[in-house]
Amino acid sequence: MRYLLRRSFMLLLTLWSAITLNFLLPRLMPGNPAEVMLAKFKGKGTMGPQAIHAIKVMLGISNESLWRQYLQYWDNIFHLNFGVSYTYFPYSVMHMIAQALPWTLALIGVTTILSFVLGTLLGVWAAWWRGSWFDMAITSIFTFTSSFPYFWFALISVFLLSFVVHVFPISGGYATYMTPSWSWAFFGSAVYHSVLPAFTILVSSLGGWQLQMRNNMITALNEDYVVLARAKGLPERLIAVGYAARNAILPNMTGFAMSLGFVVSGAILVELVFAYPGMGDLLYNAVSNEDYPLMQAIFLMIVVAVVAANFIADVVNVLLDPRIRRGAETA
Amino acid sequence: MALLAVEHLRVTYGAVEAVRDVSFELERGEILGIVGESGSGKSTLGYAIAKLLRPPGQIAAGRVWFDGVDLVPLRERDLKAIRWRELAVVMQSGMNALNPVTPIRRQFEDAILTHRPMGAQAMRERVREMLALVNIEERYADHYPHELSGGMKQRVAIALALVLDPKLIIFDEPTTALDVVVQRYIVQNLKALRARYHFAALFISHDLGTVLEIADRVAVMYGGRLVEIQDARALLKRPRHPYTQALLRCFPDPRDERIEVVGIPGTPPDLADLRPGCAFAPRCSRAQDRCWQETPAYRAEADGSGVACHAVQDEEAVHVGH
Repeated sequence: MRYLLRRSFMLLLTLWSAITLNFLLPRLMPGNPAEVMLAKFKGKGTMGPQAIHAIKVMLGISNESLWRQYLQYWDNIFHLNFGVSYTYFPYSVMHMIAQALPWTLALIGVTTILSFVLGTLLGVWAAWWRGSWFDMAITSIFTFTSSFPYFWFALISVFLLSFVVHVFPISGGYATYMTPSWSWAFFGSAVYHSVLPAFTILVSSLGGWQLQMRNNMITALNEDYVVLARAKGLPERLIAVGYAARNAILPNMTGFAMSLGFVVSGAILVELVFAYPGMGDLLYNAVSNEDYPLMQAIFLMIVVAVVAANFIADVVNVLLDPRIRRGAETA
Repeated sequence: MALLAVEHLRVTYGAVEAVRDVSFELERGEILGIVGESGSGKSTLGYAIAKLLRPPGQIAAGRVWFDGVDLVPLRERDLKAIRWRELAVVMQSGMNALNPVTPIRRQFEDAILTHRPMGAQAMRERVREMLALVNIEERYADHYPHELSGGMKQRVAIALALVLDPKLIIFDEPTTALDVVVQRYIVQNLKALRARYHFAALFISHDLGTVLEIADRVAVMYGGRLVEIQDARALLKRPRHPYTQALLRCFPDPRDERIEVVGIPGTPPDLADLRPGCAFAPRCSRAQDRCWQETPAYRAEADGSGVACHAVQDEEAVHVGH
């Protein structure tokens, strides 16, 4: 219990410093969005100081002291008010995020979980049948695929499966003639559009989990307690799962929780290649347009999600590993 | 019929030959100590007999007759009938031999449920009884291994080996990582348990003192080979092999006025070296030309003792001849 309290304190401290940095960083960048806008209009005639002032007011750029802005920033966070997006004016930042988040959660969230579960299972099997043709085949294939540059593989897949052979759509999250709605037709279209991006993410991320789990598992299989389990003549299943895999998975739980946290940020490369309407795409546009409010809100969400995922990883580790549990009680 | 008869056993790790042509017998209820320095192949011998070698270790040749059955060709599926029920293992210091994420009780229960299923109440009683044998209170059954001291874990490992009342227990360095007080306690405990349960045991250790205290007979290994077997008391009084003699000289008599600790000069042999000749020859004071060319054969005698040394065998042949 004390362990969790201490972790909670750390969690709050991390959040505070992350949010503060998040506030400061864009303000340390040179230039401001009004200047970007002005630069766009250059050559199309001159703008008076009133016009510049009008743009600044419209975008909510203040000349107040940093401290006042900081307090205002905190107030806004508690009201989930992240202002107006510069890029998608007049839509609010929250509106844009609410649009993009479900797409990312569905695509990246599901594939991350699937990749971890499948990779772990395949890793356990490969290690258990170490040296068999199954292990040789799967391990060399995964060593190969996990070293693909993601965007290269995605582009090749799009080229082959969408352009040369028209099996999957080239881009987007759903058919262009549809409007998002809760209908089977729309759902089907969304799933159909997600197959290729999901496939490419799986192929390039599965290998990492598989290789890691295989390594952990092989180490565990050489531990004395696994040899003793064999000496006890226990059923193979119990040795593989209850003794070896149960211990081998512990180091991977933290990595998995972390990657769940990063789901929120979307996968920028995937979403760019497939023009998928998720958070990665949104973030990319925000950055290329110096859209501070949108950027800040997305960074904030990523920070909160990663910190929360870390906290969950701590809790899960406490549940799975009695050694941490006890260390926690005495600490 | 002996409980265990090992015949010309050879174990290899790739190009390294860790156990070389080892033969011996173990009677029912007997404790055979196996001593040797690190790398002498004594632990490998134990794991080979239990068919628990970790890859790339494998039995290259030989037979292991256990209760009339040769274990060497048996597959894992057929070994299940023997494992733990008849042949149990206590591993080096027990520190890592218990599953760290499972309470102690479960580690008793999975062995019981696999081989001799019984009701929950009977199983509870059995675990309590087994822990009592090694003087551990029942409440520790629901603890995790890391919550116990090294000595307690080792005692739990011994109780675990006894749970199905096996005929043979292989102890691999059971006292090595423990301090002398705990070592002594465990040895006394084991002697009492043996008197009660009459199991046979291979007691593998590099600590000759501990082995002499607990074993009926002692086998000495050097460079993967058995160099001498003798009754424990006789070995202490009249060691035959020059290596055993040198080992015993490493124990000074505390009653001596001037205590001189003598080591054995030279280094242990390289097990990858497959040249013929006696492995101990480079460190032996009695080495002859022959010792460098011809590996001395281990010659077993009717009383269960034996030695592998040209000098000793020649000398004793002369005595018999007179």
